[in-house]
Amino acid sequence: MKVKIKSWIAVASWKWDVPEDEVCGICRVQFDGTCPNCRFPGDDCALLVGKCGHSFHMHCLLDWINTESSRGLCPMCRQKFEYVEQ
Amino acid sequence: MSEVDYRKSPASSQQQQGKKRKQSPSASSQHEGPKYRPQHNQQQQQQVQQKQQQQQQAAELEPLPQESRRPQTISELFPAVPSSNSSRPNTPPSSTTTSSSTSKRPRASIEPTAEIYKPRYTAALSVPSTMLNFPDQNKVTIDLTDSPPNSHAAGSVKKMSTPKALRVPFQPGPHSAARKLVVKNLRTTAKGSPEVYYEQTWKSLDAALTAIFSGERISTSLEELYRGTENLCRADKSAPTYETLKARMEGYVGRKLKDELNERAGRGDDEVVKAVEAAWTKWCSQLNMIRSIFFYLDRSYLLSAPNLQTIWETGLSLFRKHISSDDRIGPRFLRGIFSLFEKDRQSQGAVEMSLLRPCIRMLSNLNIYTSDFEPKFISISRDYFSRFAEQEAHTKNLAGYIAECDHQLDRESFRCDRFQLDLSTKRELVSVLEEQMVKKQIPVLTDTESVGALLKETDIKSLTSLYSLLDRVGDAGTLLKPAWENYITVHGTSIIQDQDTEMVSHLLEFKSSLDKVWAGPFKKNDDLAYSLRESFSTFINARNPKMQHANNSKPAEMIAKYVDLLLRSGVKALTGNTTGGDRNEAENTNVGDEDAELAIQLENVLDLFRFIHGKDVFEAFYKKDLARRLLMGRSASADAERSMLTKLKTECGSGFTHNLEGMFKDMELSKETMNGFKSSKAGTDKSNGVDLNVHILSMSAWPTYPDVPISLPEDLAEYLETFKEFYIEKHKGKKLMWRHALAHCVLKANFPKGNKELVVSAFQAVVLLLFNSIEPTQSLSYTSIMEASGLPDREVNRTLQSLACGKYRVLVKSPKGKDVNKTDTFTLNNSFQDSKFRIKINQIQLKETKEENKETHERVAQDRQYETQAAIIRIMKSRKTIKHVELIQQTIEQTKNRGVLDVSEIKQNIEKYVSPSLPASPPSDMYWNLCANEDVI
Repeated sequence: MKVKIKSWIAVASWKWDVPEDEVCGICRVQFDGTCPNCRFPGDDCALLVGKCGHSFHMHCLLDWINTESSRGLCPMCRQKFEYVEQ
Repeated sequence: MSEVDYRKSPASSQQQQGKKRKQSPSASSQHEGPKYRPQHNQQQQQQVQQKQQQQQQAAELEPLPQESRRPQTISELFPAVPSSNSSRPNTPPSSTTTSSSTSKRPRASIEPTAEIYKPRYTAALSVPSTMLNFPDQNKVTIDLTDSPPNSHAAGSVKKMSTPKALRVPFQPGPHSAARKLVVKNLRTTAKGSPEVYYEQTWKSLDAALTAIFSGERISTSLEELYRGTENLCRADKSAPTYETLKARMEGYVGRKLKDELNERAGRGDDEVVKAVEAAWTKWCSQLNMIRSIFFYLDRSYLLSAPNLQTIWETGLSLFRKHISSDDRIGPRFLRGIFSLFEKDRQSQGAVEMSLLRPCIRMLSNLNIYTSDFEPKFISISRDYFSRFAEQEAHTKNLAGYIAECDHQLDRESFRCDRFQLDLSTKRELVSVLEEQMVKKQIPVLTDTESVGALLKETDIKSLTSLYSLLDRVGDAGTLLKPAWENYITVHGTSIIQDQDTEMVSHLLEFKSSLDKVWAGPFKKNDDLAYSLRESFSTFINARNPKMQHANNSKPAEMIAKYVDLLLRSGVKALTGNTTGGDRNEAENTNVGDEDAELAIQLENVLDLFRFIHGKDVFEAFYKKDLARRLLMGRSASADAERSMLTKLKTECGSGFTHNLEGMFKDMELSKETMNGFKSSKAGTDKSNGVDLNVHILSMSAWPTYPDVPISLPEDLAEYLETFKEFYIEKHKGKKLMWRHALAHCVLKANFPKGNKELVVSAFQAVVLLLFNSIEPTQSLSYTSIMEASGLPDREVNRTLQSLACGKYRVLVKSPKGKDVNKTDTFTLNNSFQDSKFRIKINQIQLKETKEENKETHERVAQDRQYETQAAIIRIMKSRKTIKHVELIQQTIEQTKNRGVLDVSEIKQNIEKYVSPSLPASPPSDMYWNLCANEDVI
């Protein structure tokens, strides 16, 4: 007797592709968690990965960028912050 | 004799009577006639007057023998007589007197009255008397011209009768020229002395009274007697007449009637009742006769005299004085009546209506009903029912007693109607019954145990009665509340403790029966509805030390699972639990009805869900089950899923369902992604005929699943890798992890006895695929399977058990047995056959293992700790200082909906945040927020 796969219903879960123990540089919360203002992690509270290599919660970083003193710089390395297109 | 006149006339006639009496009888006036009878219609009057005149003329013109004419005239006039009588105010109501006298009237009253009364009748223009007197009158001359022009009587006479009619008879007469009416043989003096007449009248009246009292026939004509009384009254002898009459009556009632009564009475009280009743009936008829005879006295004198009673009242008061209020008879009579009532109450209508009813009427006629009878009757009834209630309440069970109360209330009200008791008595009796049977027995009626028994049996009838009984004496809701709450709590707790698998359906049944009782017998009482909810949530959330899990999360878990069952298998899942009749019904209903039925069921379960405080447990299990349904494609109806989600959303807010909605969203997104993948080049190239579907989950929305290592067949693994690349390409910054424990697949298997499609889990598939590489007769050992599949020991065990020891045995295990051991070997089951083509063996995936269950509970417990801590922080952030008790209260308040921890646990959580370096000697029960004064929080 031979058995053949006809259809396969697989299940997968996704995560942010960041190192396990890295936290948001602004709120110090793990990227699996949310920024302080959100309640539900995932697509609702997305990440921004900077070209400088620093990642933040989008909400956290936008708050920072919107302050005048930021001058559009990454809060970690003080380079111009540009995020990677996704 | 019409009653209308009898009723109408008193007011006006009384006045006239009064007037009449004041005027001296000798003061003759022609105007008196018409005034005296204002009720006469004019036609009649006219007729009478005309006839009168014709008669006068006849008497004048042709002196024929009077006797021959008289009857004719009278019979002609007869129609007028009753009407004249009726116009007389208050003619005796008894028709016997008048009717007998009417026939006799013509002859009976003519002679004596006429003889004596002649002089006066010239003036009094009363029709009958005028009539009767004139024929053998001598001549009276009335000067018509002299009559006062403004006189109503004369005027009316003139006007009514045509001038011709008046004049014509006079013209041929010899005296017409003088314009005078001449009455011949007018005697101006009385024949006999009035006193003699009065004496005679007295005697005949007296004889009549004697006859009445002794029950004999009255020898004198009644009309004559009546007339005699009238004459006596007109002669101003009313007072002595009344006195004499009263004395005679008193003599009779006080002696003869009483003696007779005493003779009949005998010893027993009920014999007295009979005797009194007989005496009363007799006296009534006698009194009626007396009143009829002395009617004129009654109406003209007694009625208007302020200090005197009418004959009827006199008679009644005499009866009252001598008989009903007699020291010996009165009390015995009442006792007799009461004992008759008691007898009636005991033997249910054994007492004849004909005895009691007249007695009651007598009592009210004698005016002693309200003064003597009613209070005693009420108090005696109170005693009786007090005894009765005591006895019944302690011998019968509650249902029996309630029925008895209802019965007694009905009976008593019926009894009142039957014996024509007064309405006020009826009212009071009912209130006595309510007081004695209900109010005083409230402890019995609201006894928690017996009411509980009624509720348990859902004895709708008794409960309805009970409620309405209690409602009579007070607020039934408040009275029933303790028993109601107690029943719900006790019964509910027993359901929760004893039954695990059937718990929810039992709870649902319980709830629906309570609702039925509440809506029916308890008339939707607001209090009871409130306490129903209260008690329900009390027992459902009760912390039970016996329970395995803390905080009694069992009901919430069971409800979640019940919903899962409904959503997985629809209403069909329920029919298994219910009776055969229901099943048939369910089969007969079409799909639309099934949906409706499902919606109803879900609504009911949601009812229970509302009572649950620890909604986090429900959410955890619901989420888990929902995940399974979605991933395995086991939902019975997507609509039902959606509607349930909407219901939960309205119930608990969007925060509660956000994750659940996220799960649905993930499913949608996965579908889109799969469409994209399948239309891509890589997706079609490497498929190898496998139809791949991937569900991509956002970690946070779904339950956490353990990562189980597994070695997939190479081509499949490659294909999955292709998909992974495709996905990551599309969503940069994300990475994908396979959850093979949740995956399942369809396998094509060619068994010797036919091709089958097997729906199996990924694990099962991997194990089965191993058998592709060996000959059908060869076997694989447990350890080799474990090695080749890469599965952990526990999963291999479960998987092999499901394949070799389940309902569908695709593998054969040797040695045979129910449990899988590490030394067992397995071969393909070549003789496998089944009627179905598609066989589902992946039930094992759906089943929740004990470990999983425990894990879920633990996770919920853990989450509660976090929630509590978050709540504490939130509270403290908003306050500078707070007292310990207050903090605990607010924490409970905030976490109530999700699930509350024990006070001791809350305290522990608080202590985690208490800084060890507190300000010097703070009050021990106060907390400071150390950050409160700082800007940064």
